[in-house]
Amino acid sequence: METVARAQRGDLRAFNRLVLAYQNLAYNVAYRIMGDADAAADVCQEAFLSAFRHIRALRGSSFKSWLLRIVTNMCYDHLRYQRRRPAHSLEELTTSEDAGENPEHFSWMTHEGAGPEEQIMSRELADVLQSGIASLPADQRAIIVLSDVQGFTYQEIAEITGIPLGTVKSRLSRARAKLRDYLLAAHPELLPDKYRQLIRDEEETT
Amino acid sequence: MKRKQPSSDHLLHQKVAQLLSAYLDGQVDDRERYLVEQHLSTCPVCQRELESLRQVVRLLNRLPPVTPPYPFTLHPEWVAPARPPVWRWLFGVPGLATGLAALMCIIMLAGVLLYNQIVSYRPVMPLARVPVTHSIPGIPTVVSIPGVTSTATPTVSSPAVARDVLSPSAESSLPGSMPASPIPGQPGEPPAPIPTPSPEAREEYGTPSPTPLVVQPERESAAGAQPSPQQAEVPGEATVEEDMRAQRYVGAASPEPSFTIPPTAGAMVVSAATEAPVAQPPTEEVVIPSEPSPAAIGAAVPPTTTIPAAPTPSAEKAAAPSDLPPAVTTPVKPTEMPETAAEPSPVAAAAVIPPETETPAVPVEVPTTPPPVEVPEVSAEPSPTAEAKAVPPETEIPAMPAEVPVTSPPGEVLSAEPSPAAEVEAAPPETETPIVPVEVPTVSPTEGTLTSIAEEGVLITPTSVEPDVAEAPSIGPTEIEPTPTRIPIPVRDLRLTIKPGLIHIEGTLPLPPGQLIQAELWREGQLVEWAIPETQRGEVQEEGRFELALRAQPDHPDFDLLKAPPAHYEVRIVPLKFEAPVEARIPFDTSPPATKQP
Repeated sequence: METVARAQRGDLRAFNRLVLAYQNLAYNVAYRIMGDADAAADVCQEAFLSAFRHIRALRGSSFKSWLLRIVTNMCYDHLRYQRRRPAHSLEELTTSEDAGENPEHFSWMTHEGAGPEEQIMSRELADVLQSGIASLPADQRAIIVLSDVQGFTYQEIAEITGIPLGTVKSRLSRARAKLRDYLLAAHPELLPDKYRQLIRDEEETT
Repeated sequence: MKRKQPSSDHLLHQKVAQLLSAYLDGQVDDRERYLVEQHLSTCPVCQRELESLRQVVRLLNRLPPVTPPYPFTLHPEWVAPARPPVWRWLFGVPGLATGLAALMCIIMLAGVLLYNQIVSYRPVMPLARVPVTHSIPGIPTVVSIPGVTSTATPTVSSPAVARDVLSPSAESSLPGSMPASPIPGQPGEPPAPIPTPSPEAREEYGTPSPTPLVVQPERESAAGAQPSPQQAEVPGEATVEEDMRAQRYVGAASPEPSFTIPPTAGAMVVSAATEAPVAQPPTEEVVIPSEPSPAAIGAAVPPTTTIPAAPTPSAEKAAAPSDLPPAVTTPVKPTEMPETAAEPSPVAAAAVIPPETETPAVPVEVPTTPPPVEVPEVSAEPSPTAEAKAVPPETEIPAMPAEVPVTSPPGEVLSAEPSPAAEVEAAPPETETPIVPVEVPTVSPTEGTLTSIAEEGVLITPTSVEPDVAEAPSIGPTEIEPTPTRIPIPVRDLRLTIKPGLIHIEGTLPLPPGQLIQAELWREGQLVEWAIPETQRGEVQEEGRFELALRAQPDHPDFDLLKAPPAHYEVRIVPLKFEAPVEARIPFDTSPPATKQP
């Protein structure tokens, strides 16, 4: 890509065009992994800065994949840092008990006859999902975000994260199952009735 | 069967459960798909499992996109961390101790003052002044180039520069207080004032560089002797004393911590001078070996240079310098200077001088000092060489030379100019002048400049003052520096090549990539339209690199600058539409190859 080539020659204006082209993607990935707007913005700014400084090292792979790799790696770094200095997180916002007390809150989500307006996810539901993602290990977060939020293919994810395709598959599988379990525990109303019923039955039988 | 089925089902169930996620995305092979579908048809648990996963994915897919709070585009300033911003270049030198930063500031201020002063004084504007101004920013870098001077350690050189600069600055700043400096310039007065005030002045105020010069004369003159106590050293001690003086000046000039540094610098310089003659083993550069003589010359030269500048006064005492000195001197009145020249020269001379070739003068006085002895020799041999080497560094120095014209040396410079060396950057001092023709001129890139600056600085301090005075009268006409408003920025890795109809410049500027720059060619302080305008513009590349090829207008009378009357030139590089009024100056001199001395 010519713009990338120019950016590689130190053309800041060219690079800034790349920034504008990819900043939404980068920010969304970072935001979903981090679960925090400020942290995501910081990560993105750092990532673009780092990308500019090292863009000459970019060879072969696409700028998009390479950029997202920087973003996800920086997210990991940030998360590690946060773990060492825990701050008040979203977990405080939604405890399973609170949610359990207001299951009807999300009942419409699974309602068969949900209209167009209901297709729009409520802020509350988004927060629940976000906290569900936050409950996952960092490596699973990145993969489930890239796959199910951003729609990247397994192949693309393998390229971005640099991990083997098989690992992407298994990690994504575990991430989805974990998130499902989280939702089931925190907001069972989000899952299909049949599934809830089934779980209930199993619990009773065991 | 029934009992077995559960266990086998259980295994299958687990296996399938692991595949459900991938199956959901169609990321399973045919065998897996068959397995999963077969199992799903009979396992309600896995069906619901699949359904739950699908629901999770669906929910995630519907997460609304978020919008960045602000654009993440990069500001040029963030991207240039490696290169300190312009202002940091101006006020602090990268690589130097922070302590020097303060020093730099002072120097810069002093330089500006001096600059202004100079402007007012002289039309011609010797290189020396220019350099001073420039020098500040550049100083930091200097280190490597120093080699040119000769032996001196690169590191040391920087300090030297500082010192030099200081002294000049001191002068400039103290003009009022320092009668000494001005006085010398004036023919009649110099002698008288010097004796009395000089001592005191030195002690009390800073004894700006001028003093030193004066002092010697005094001594020689006899009457003056008194003041000398401080400086008294004279011929014999030469080196040491000179250094001492240098230090004093510095100290006096600016009561700064820098003290320590100066000594070193002085030491360096001196040593260089001294060694050079001996045939020092210029360790640093290969080139140097050949240079020794040059170095020596350089050292020697300075004195000479100085002398001229100084109002020749001493011709009588110093006398020896039969030819050259007289010439120079004549104009002025001989009263005090002779020694002055000698003294200063040693110190500063080493560096700056080269251009000048004054060696001859040196012999007389210098001799006392160890270096002197050598000097003579040097002059003899290298004189040509000396010029050459001198040149590179000189860009700035040249200024002085420019005036110097009196002495032939300058001419040599060009010819001698190790243009090659210059290009090389370090090289300034090459002997091979021959090559020169092509590239010639000076050129010392920033680094080179720096070096030269340092050297020059030295000279400047002592000498410059006097010279200015002397010259002022003679030339007087124009003030070269029209606008001191632009802040000088250093050029690093400079390579200047001058060929008929072409001035090729490349180097590094502390400017952001993409910055448009425009070069101006100044001749003797006058902006000249020599180059084709389109060739004067360029764009700063990555890491501040730039390259300009000024091509002369085909029918320009001075198409070949080297064949035009010798003059002092400057290429000034100005960033267009830039946030700060800055410019980079690349001074160089052209002079006909001449032979100094027999």
